[in-house]
Amino acid sequence: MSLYYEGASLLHRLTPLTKIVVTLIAMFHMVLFPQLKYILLHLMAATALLVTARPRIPIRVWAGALAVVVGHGWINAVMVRSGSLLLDLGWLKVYWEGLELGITLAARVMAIILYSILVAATTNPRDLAVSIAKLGVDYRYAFAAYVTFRMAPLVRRDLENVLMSRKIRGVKTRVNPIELMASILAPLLSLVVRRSTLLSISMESRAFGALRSRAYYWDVQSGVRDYAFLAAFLTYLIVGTCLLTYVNYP
Amino acid sequence: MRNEAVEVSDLWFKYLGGRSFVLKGISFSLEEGEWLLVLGPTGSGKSTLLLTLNGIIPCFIPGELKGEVRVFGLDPAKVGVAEMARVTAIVLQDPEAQVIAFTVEEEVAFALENLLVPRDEGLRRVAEALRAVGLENLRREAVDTLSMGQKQRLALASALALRPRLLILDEPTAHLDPASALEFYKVLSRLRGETTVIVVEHRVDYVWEFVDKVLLMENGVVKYFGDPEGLFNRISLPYLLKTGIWIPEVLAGELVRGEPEELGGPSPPSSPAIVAKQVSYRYPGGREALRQVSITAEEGRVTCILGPNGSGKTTLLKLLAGILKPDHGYVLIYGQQPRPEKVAYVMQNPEHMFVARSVLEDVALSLKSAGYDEGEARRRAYSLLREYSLEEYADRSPFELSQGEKRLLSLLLMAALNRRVILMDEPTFGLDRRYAGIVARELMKLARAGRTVVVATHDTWLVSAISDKVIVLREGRAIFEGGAVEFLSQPKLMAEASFSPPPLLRALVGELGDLEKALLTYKRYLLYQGVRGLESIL
Repeated sequence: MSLYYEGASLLHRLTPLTKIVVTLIAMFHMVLFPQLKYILLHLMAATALLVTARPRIPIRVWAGALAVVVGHGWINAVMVRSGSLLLDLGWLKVYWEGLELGITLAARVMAIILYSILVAATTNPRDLAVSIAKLGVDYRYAFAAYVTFRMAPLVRRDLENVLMSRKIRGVKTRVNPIELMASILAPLLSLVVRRSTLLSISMESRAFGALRSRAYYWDVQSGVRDYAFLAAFLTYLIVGTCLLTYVNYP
Repeated sequence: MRNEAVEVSDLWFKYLGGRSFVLKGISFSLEEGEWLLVLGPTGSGKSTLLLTLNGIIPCFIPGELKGEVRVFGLDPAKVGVAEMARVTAIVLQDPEAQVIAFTVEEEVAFALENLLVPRDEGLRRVAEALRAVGLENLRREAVDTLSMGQKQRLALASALALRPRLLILDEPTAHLDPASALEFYKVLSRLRGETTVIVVEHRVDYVWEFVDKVLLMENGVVKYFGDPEGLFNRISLPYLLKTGIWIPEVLAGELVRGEPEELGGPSPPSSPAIVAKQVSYRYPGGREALRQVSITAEEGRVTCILGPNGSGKTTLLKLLAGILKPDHGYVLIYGQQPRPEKVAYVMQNPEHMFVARSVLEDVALSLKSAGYDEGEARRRAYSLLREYSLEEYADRSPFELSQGEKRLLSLLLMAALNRRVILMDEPTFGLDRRYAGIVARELMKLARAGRTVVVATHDTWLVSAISDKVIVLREGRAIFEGGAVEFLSQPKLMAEASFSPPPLLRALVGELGDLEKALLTYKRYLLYQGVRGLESIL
């Protein structure tokens, strides 16, 4: 599913590579400094960027993200079997140490999800393909992601139509689950295979892969804005990390 | 002397795993700049032939290929599809499936970028191609927001921007409104004498005047190749009608003149079944598709919804079906809120509608929904398949059927639900005359049996042949609601609906001097094939 929407925010104007590099730096930093206080730095940064970019993210995406975060945190919390007991239900014991670990890991997952959503929502898939190709990757592979983004909404629409058709036809859903899956997947797979074949045909019929390189009419160039953003983000992380590490707060 | 553009010699092709050859010894040749119209009934091998001309067969679609194909001296099977793009461009039947990019101008530029056309030159060609198909105002639009017809124009623009020496078109106007289709061929006609064009087209009247050669295929064999005029000298009109192909109406019409008033009669008394009042709808984050539309549709009648591409026809059908909910206003079906499980809705893509492993099971499933028990449903399913001439496919997967058969099956699946309201989205596009006639007759039968039938269509012949009532949408507004005769007698209104009356109907009106009589004769020709002297053959 493509979350991308057009816009003119700072993140929209950065090159895809800058955004990917920032996300990788953030993840690397979270591995080096796994404590909650450092992860809060990322949550603050991601939230600030989210406010400036104002991505139109569907509710179901937020719901999915929340489910992952809560589920991940909760499982890790209850896996800790020693320490100061916080809650005892007999069949379930939760310790303070477990809760702390769960919250830390949930915050880390949340930060990664936020960064990823920001990249996906503000990056034109075409620019992403162009950026990857300009790194020296064969453009035929670079466009694989582009085509995947292209196919995703079509497949989703196919699925909606298949489900709507079942509703119109009054097909019972309370049947053997394997039969149910088969009856949904059979038409969907047929449509996906057909779509993929036609898309490949369409691309090659328009000289995709005929030459070793291709032109890019809407080129993507890193500029001062990208370097400045990267520098600002690094400065924020370094200063924030130093303050949290070396300054003793009352 | 002109160069040879295309030479096909003794071409045979069988799909991988196929039971028999689809192409059987096809031979023909074209000179540069000539236009060829490929005719043939559904399943005759037309699309397969086109796919061999730029290498899609066998490079993408494997099978057993014998014989020789040369396009400007190149062998497509050896050169490959991407290389062939230097000289050929192809527009496939399904415009949605061939869109690659996210915005309109990126889509048209895609091939030019691949061929390293310099940026300035490329963008100039993009602008020209978009202007040619009337999409210049939408160049920065996201492709996903376009209507099906607009996507088809986009596919054409992408092909035109390549400036190919051979342009291959497989039903290029299937999703276009009549005025846009006529306009398209007018634009394309500028390429006459320069670009070689091979086209499969069911709206033959639109392209007939431009073609230099006609290739008639039947069951994978060339029945005729030569000048358009020679087709009717060599092969009798009754035989051509029997094959089920679309032929120029004015020529077929020679057989039907002079016996106008045997068919028809007034529609049975009707009562309003569908009421839409002040309905508006805007797609989430998108354009406003419908604005304060108020319409009704009556029981026992066929109501056709017309309008240019993107005017909101499909959206209106979805609102009537209860698939979408109006932002403002309301829809009532027999006095109740519309619900998908209460109507029969035939989607544009029949493949969305199949759920069972075999054709028989799929029909039986609909019958079970209509209240039949297992055994009775299967028995009745078989007899329905016989009625629709689909019984030989009873044990096959619905996905294995031809496009025409799939569409017919999708109608049968909905008819078997035995619902009072039947909504259909472009039920006849891409069908040959035989299948289209069957679908049209079934719609008439369903209406006459007391159902409320609403059809969104671009097919002018269908509107003329079966509509009791016409609703015209334009830019999301309903600008007309009334009888077919009333609609067909208002040239200005027809122009606003991007509608052009079928040539035979125009000719009949000229000859008989009376639109109602002409319509009756026209229905007779299209629906009942009751042409004098043809009964024994048909």
